Amino acid sequence: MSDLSMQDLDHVIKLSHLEISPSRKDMYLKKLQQVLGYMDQLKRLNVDDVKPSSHAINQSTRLREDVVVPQPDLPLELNAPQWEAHSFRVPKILG
Amino acid sequence: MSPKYEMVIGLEVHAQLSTNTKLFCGCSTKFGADVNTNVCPVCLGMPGALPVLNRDAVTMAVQAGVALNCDIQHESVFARKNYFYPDLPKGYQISQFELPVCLGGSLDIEVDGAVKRIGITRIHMEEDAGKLLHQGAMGIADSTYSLVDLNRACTPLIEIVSEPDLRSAAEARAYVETLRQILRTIGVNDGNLEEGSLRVDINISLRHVGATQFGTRCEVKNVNSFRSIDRAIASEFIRQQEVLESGGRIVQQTRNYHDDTQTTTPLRDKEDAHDYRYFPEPDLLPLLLTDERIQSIRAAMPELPHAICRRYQQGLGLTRADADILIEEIGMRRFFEACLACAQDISPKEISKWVIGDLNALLKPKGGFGPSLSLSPEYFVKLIRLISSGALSGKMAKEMLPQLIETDQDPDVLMANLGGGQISDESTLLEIVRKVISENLDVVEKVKSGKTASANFLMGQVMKQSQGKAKPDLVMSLILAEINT
Amino acid sequence: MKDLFISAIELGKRLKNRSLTCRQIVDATYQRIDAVDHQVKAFISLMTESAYIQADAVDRLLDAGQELGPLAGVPIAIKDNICTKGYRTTCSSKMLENFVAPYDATVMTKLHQNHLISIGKTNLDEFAMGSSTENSAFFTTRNPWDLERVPGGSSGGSSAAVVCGEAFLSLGSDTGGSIRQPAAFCGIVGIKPSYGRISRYGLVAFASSLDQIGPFTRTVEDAAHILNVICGPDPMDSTSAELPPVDFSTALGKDIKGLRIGVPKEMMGDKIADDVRQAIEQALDVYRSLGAIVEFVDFDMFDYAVSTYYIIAPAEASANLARFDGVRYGYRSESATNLREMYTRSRGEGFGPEVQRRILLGTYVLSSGYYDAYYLRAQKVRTLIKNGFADFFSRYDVMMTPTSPSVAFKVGDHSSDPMAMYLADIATIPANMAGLPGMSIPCGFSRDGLPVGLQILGKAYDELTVLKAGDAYQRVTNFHLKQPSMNQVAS
Repeated sequence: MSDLSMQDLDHVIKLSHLEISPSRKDMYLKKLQQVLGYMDQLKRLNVDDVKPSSHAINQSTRLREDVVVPQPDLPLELNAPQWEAHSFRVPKILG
Repeated sequence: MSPKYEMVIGLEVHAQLSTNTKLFCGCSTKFGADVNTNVCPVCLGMPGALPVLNRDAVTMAVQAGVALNCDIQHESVFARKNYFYPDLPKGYQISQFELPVCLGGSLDIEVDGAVKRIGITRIHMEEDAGKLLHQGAMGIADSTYSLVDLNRACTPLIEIVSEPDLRSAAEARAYVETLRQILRTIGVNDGNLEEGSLRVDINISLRHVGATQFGTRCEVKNVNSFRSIDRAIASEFIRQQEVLESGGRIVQQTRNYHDDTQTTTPLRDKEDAHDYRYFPEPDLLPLLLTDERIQSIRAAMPELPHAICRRYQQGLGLTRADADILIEEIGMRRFFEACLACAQDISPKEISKWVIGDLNALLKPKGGFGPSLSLSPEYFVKLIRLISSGALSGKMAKEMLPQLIETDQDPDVLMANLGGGQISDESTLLEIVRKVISENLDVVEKVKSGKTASANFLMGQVMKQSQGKAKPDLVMSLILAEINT
Repeated sequence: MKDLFISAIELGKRLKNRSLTCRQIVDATYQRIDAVDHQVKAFISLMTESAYIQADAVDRLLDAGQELGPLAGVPIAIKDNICTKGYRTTCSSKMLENFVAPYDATVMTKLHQNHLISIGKTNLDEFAMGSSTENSAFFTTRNPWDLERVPGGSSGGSSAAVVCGEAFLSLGSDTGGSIRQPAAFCGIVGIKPSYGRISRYGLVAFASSLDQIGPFTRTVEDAAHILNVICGPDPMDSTSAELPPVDFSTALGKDIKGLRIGVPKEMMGDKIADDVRQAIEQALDVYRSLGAIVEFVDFDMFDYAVSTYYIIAPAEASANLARFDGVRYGYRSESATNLREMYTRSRGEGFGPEVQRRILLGTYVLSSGYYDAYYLRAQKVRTLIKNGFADFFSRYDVMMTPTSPSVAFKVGDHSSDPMAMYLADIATIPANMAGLPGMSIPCGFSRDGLPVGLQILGKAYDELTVLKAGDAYQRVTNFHLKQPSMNQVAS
């Protein structure tokens, strides 16, 4: 399971939307291979009939009533990198 | 020549649920608010904000499932669908994936009088994305930048996925129409394709007639009217047929429909390779629905369109056409039902005639039977009752109706204000009739000589002198009786 | 001012009998920060303005004879991944360097309702990913016991602040040990309550199914009282537990005769440094002397838990950190000319190396073709860990282990080897996997005079037994009263 290739890493970098320099990529590849290698021990466990747990606790999700909660004015422009016409501005999507 | 190819269609319909608030936060879902005002830390995807599921959204999703004969799941799970796009604040959409709330249902559609059962694969809940406004050009293609409005982000949707059971544009259209009618009638969706509260994605593939294997399918998006369902299917059918005829192969892809050119073009990838990395949403625990909860939703299920239709025709004696109008116009139907409830003494047919006819005509320019209507069903029924009892002529009732709508006053009061109701007292009318006859002896002669139509002139004179209040049929019989004695 | 080193409960009493005003203690706290924080580097930012407003309000109420809670007026430091309205919340990341939270986390609201004084935001490993604060984008916090050493992490700023008198209490967050391990390294009390006890609303998520807020305190008594303030169900957090309120102070001063303590052999073996093991053995002797029953047991889930953790936590983190995209808040690269570049450069420049590594790892284990082998398998092992604990707690009241295999290490020691750093959390991780309450209390010192922490784990929602065990120990020992030398110079 530890044979993570540079090609795999490039695919994951693309999915993660991270720009990473080639030298750093080499470093990441080594460290990730090391970590994934350690995880091989999980293969020793037989988990065929085990139900997966995505949570520590077993209860039904909380529900809220369908009532409008008035929102205080949020200073969106304060944190927005680019703000125009009361909207978040993003650079051109294509190209 | 018989057709060589058959089309196989499955539909994915996204319906916005008619809740007051968003799926995971208390922001209003009202359409048309100022940009970025129906937002809070949760739907903005602020650091540290957490989703909490809307109870009514769950109820509505289950109602839709019940209406479409689905198995309601006792445990369903929300998952994160991961991709980047500026209208998706958290970088993932919370959606149901492996375990949706409803599985396996069906919908009966009617095309050319024949009923066909279409399978429903699943219904799942998910949140909507925000909106992008592309600047500096008409569309995304040449725009120089875009603005993000997150008012719509996190609005509750259900996605209803059909089996690939549809075989023509007509069937697809009937499916969407029937589905829309059901969702509107049970009050979970407003059915507005143009505003996007109902969105249809069409999966279409072709195969040789008689073949059992499915061909490679394409998904067509951006179909936002009934007309464009037909057109998009037709254009995609022709495109695929041409590809196959020229020896080509269909590439599985998502295509965008353009109503102006009536063509489909491949949609550019959402930047990513398609690997959504679904995994169970850790911020939400599984949605557990007990038998009791499901039963109580079932028990409180609003009446479905076909049941209403049957009841109106068989129970109330309405025509199919009138029943259909009332089912389509939900506000009108609510008013009609409210009238029925306070009018045991009047025939439903009579009420429907007035509701669908005159009342509807008058209300149309004023926003119809919406919430702005102040007319109370009780007064409206009273008006009809005055007609049946003869206290008011149909003509007078029609004249009074605009005022009744305007003021919502007791029709008795309105009638008094107008100088009383219809004169049906025989002695009062006889007096007027005798007076008119004495003033128009030449016309009387004409009637006597057989020109019975001339009696209408006398009738008109009586109505004039009674300021239109005379009861017409009584007047006519009095005139004829007087002349013939 | 020697009052800076007393317990929070003791401070509360002095404020109530008006031998001290709240303004005085806030003044003294900020003076202490001025004096030592250039060395310790616990704080990223201070909340001076609101602290004095709150302090004066407490003084007015107390002067007017109002009954306030036992911790009213006590200065508390807040880990900088908990949202504080109107103040920066940076997560020690360049990504959020200038982010001003537009809302308060639920715990902040609870603190303010109970009149605690939030004084500032403390340093952490970027987005809580690390065990030393060395991953902070800004600076590394130092351990007040030895400034060459790390305070532990990720909540290292919060633990260091409490040790050196910069705060009486602090809040941290614990995803795999980020409260307990720094508490052990700094010789104070740190408790991670059961998952769901404290609302996560406003805690910037690292791994949502594992994260839990918790306090650092000088005594178990203080821990019980601050838990009374910050615990409870929250309608804003779907995963907060619907449980009746508990008065945690009822755990204090109780007899522990007959308490069944299980000690996993694996955590007393060669993975554990000698002087740590010796301190734990002595602590177990103390428990025996108090009438508890101590048994060594086979419980071999620790290694598996580490592997499982480094699949599940990065997987959840890879999605949790997707919202940092440069659109609505946070860092945006100046050089981007289109959307794709805006994403990749903002995230490439805004996140530090450890965060990027974990995003990549998490993305990988969720990606098509690897999901079953890694993520799904890890979730199944998580079930085995939960079952293992259920079995354990059918026989024992608490589990005890060293909190960390070693005492505080030197700055720079572990930074080149990710697995060495990851294994430092081996004893603390399983509790997060199973959502159990866990506490670290000081139980001795290494040969170098560095604190050793004893970890006490209880069954889910049974904080009372954990607190009871810790409090009983502190009543007969004085490790928790020891001060680093920098405190003695100050007093």
